[in-house]
Amino acid sequence: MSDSSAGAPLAGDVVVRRTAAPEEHYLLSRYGAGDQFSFRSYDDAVAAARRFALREHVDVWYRADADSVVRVAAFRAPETAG
Amino acid sequence: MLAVSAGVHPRKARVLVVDAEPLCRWALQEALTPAGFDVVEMSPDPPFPPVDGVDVLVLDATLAGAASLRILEHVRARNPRCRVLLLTAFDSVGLARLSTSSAVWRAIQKPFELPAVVEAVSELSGHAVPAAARLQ
Repeated sequence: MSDSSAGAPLAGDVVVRRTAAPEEHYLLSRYGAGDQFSFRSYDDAVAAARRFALREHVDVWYRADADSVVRVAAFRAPETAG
Repeated sequence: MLAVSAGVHPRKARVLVVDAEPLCRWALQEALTPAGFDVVEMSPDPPFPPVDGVDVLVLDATLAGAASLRILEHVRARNPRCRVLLLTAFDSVGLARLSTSSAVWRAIQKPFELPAVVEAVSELSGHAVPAAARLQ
């Protein structure tokens, strides 16, 4: 998250993360807020996150663990991009 | 069946979604609309939402302060036939306290699965979701 070339989520961005096995779900939230809802597949979760992010002009991130996030879609306007 | 054969379609059940989180409101509208519901979504900021004609209120019970309770009281006063689905992150004690203070019909804990909300709204409204529109 300290790597500026990779950037970091900003307020309003959508974050997807996986719950622990065996109940494997993919949770959606906005960065800094609580988990809202879930999907049972990564593809469905990211597809929904992308649709919302496109509408709101924010980015989509996948949180791999407490310290690692990866941007999976970027729709944020350049002047507000992280 | 009589109404359909006469060419008159029953009106869609109207669902009002009140949640502070735009992502949640958007997702619920996206899930409920293709399932055959007439969905209006809004933030919990004053003034109170219009509840006349609303069949089911989907309400975020985690709203700051007593906003959830105030909205529930408003709904009970203005549209006592409206049924309520609470979305909550409360523990069971908090949920029980909120439920007993208002006319709550169902509660689903956040984070939820969208099909569970569609199913609950269908049950509360009495409007069946067409099989082709059911979420997996």
